Amino acid sequence: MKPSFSEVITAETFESFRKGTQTESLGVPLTFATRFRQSEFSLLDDLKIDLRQLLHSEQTYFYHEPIRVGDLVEIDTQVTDNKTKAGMQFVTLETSLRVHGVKKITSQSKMVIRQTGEMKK
Amino acid sequence: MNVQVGQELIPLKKGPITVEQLRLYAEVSGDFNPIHLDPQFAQEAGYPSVIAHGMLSMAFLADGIRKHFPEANFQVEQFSARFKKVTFPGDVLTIRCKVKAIELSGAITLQVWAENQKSEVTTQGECQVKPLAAGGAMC
Repeated sequence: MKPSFSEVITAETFESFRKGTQTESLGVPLTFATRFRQSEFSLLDDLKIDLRQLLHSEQTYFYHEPIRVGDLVEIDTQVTDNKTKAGMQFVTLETSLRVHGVKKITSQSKMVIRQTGEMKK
Repeated sequence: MNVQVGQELIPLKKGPITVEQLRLYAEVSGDFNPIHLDPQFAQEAGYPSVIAHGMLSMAFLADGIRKHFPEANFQVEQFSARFKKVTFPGDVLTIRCKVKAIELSGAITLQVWAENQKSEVTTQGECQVKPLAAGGAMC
């Protein structure tokens, strides 16, 4: 598991994400949690995964509680599945967003690495 | 309006996707994978040009959902997407949304997908939404 990091959500954070995703509807964009994927990329780097071979195949969000402006969000990511099949590697990463210890959003990212590279766990 | 199982909602158009848009998305999402930003890197990966972030397409699906089921009236419990085909700069996406099921509790399961200008499904998703108040009006 990657060490947690945290970030305070501001109105500007939401607004810049809305602008970057051309979101027209009001409220918190449903994929806002993707803003915190740097821990996933850090983990992929630790796993020595070549980004040229990486395909993001599937993404799921579970929304437990709403997040709001002013929340101090704590983020941690872990590998929940990692297997090789037919020369391809399948990795599932799970990122949790918590506020004061209460889980707000769970993000599950499934990745396919087209050629199995050297990995360290 | 009330929705019924099988009903397809008014689609939403997004694009054409631009290289500048991918740069902006990288900044706000923190996804600086060069496959989305560096043409040479993308070509080394086997693509003719940079490719759009899959999560940008998912954000478009999200916008399509929220246009019909706004945050003020509906809680989203789960939202998933599978990335089936890559999207390139210049592509235009149509976001479509169809009611798959309605539970007695009022919870609604939606099928959502993005189609490019060739009518190819690039991203396919599913979402569970629930009215915030009992008897709340359906968008």
